Amino acid sequence: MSDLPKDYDIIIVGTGLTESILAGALARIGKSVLHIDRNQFYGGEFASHTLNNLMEWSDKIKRYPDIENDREQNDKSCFKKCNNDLGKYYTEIEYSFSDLETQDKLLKLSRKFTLDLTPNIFYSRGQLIELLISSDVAKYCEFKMVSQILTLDRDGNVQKVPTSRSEVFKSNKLGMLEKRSMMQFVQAVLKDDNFNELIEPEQLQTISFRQLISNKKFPQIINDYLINAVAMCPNEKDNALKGLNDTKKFLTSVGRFGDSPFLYSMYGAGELPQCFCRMSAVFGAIYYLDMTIDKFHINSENRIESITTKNDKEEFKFNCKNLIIDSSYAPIDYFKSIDNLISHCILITDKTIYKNDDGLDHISLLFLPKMKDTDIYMIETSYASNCSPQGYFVVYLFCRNTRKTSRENFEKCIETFFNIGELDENKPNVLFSCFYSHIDSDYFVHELDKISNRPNNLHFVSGCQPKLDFDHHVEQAKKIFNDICPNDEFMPKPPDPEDIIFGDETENKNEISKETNQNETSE
Amino acid sequence: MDDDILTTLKILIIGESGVGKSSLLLRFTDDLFDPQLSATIGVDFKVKTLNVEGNKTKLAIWDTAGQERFRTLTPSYYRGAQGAILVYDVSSRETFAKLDNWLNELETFANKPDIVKMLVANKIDKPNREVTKEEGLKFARKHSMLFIEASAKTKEGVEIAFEELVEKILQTPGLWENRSTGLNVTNTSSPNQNGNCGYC
Repeated sequence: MSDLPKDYDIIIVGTGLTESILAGALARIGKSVLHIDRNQFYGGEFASHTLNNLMEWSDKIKRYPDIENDREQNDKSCFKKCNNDLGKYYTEIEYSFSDLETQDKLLKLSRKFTLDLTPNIFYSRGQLIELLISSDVAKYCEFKMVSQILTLDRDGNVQKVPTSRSEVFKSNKLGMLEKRSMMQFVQAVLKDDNFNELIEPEQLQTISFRQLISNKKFPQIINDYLINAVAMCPNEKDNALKGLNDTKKFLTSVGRFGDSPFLYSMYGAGELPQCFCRMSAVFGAIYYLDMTIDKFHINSENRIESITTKNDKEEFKFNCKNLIIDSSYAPIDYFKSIDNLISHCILITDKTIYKNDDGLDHISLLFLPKMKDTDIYMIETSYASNCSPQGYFVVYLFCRNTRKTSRENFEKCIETFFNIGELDENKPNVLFSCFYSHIDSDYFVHELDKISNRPNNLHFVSGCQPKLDFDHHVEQAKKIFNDICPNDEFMPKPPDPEDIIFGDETENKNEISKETNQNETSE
Repeated sequence: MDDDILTTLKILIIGESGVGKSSLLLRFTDDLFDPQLSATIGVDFKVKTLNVEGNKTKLAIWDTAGQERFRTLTPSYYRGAQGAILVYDVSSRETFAKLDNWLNELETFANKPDIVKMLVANKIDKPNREVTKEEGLKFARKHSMLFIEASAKTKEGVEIAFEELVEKILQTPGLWENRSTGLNVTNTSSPNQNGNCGYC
């Protein structure tokens, strides 16, 4: 560590998705970057864990001291002590196995599980996938199609939603008239950006998407497909414009890489921050894990000048021009009690929630509007994405918290789909479950940005939101990048790997043979 | 264009900072040696086609991008690799002593159980040798690795190190035939490039 440079353009604390995208973008344009994380692993809130590591992670958080224990008021001093108590960020963590025998069996397979702390799936034409392609970071990752978009019908049965034209016409759930009216609607949505064929311009923001669909007098099954599985805009506050835009995003994503609009990351969503960190390292960023920020120092011009980092053994001081930190490391006296929580549930099960006749392993999405009083997203992964051993399934549930405990949000949902209490052999058994909540850090960052004497070279980054795709993080990274480097391009495609082998051009490298380079995809 | 390529293999190079990982890579792929090559910046991976006993094999050889310095290589770096080259510097006993850590890391993160490992004793051109050939050989045997002494500076042993590694990988059934079934997203991987929608 003593041989590390002391001065950086940017120090980034936390290796979550937004921080990692920023590290890549800033290193890419030649900024000197130091990127650290308090954990021994990459990803922070976005990490994927083996079963053992997930248990360690939750045990560790449960051991953190109470919120009030170490509150240090340091408003007036020239340094700010940063938070390293994850108990302030995560609450209500619990996990359990169905029985001891199952526990032994699953723990032996621990490494074959990839359990995402922030699971998600990505629209083929969403901002994350577009960024991966345009920046060439896509070469570091692989995806699988989310091959089943499911919905719960009025009788409580799980149905597969047709996602492509051919699937619509093959569907035996829809009659010929229904097929036609669905295709007509689809074509009208795709026709233009103002949706002129479907709605008067002045109504776009005044009526709800639900209302718009019901005005069309479609059969019930089409209503349900469109509202709950395609647009996923079931609430009165989701206006027609939002619903139509989300429908369009869904429809234009279909067919880009396959019949489904969604992709899931092989080996879990925790791969994505690592891919951006790899790019960042290739462009010279320095990585140090298991090293946290202890405090930062503010000069008389109200700018952060340096930070002190620490791990078990050492303390170091680094100078920086800009500091980017994940909100969970925010200064202790900036932390307030936040009621807005996001809740998660991870289940390991022994059967899929929707058995497809093709006998293959699938990845599935199921949106559950108004389950109790919150909208729940359910993602089921399997051996198909290398996230579980064959014969096991991993189910993720997430939503905005509306209950007292994390578990309560999901109880009804779990009873609906899984074999709890009574014996229903057709339903999957829950072998392992883990529940946790964390503060809605987007709301928290919004509050942090309002603090009047906040140093102006301090940038807060928020964690996940209870919605599909990571557009939010790409937008956030672009915004902070523009604040720091208003005149630079955000993550342009890097040159051919063959051309960037050396930083210095003192020698004539033009003779380097290009004939072996067949790796690049040409545009 | 790649019709005659038998397979594409992912090869990793790991070991302590300064043992000459990038130099070995560059000597192999471009037959270059730069004594001034400083700590790795900008090295991602290099691609080279190798002909092993009539089989044309495309190698994607991944460098550490400097992330080995504080042991912060990402688990995703190791994923899918069929071969790993572990490098130490014969003029530095410390780099030899750290090999155990690198083997552990490989064991933890490499997801192909029978990944082929090659131990390379680099910098044998240097006069101040601290690790003997016998020690290297013994360590390699103990951990079922291939072993070779090499010098990126003089070229000695470099080509043969990669060739033997690839030969061994091709002889290991199940290691390379079952290609990953993941989807790479690029602008050209679209089955439907003209329309922007599978519905139309």
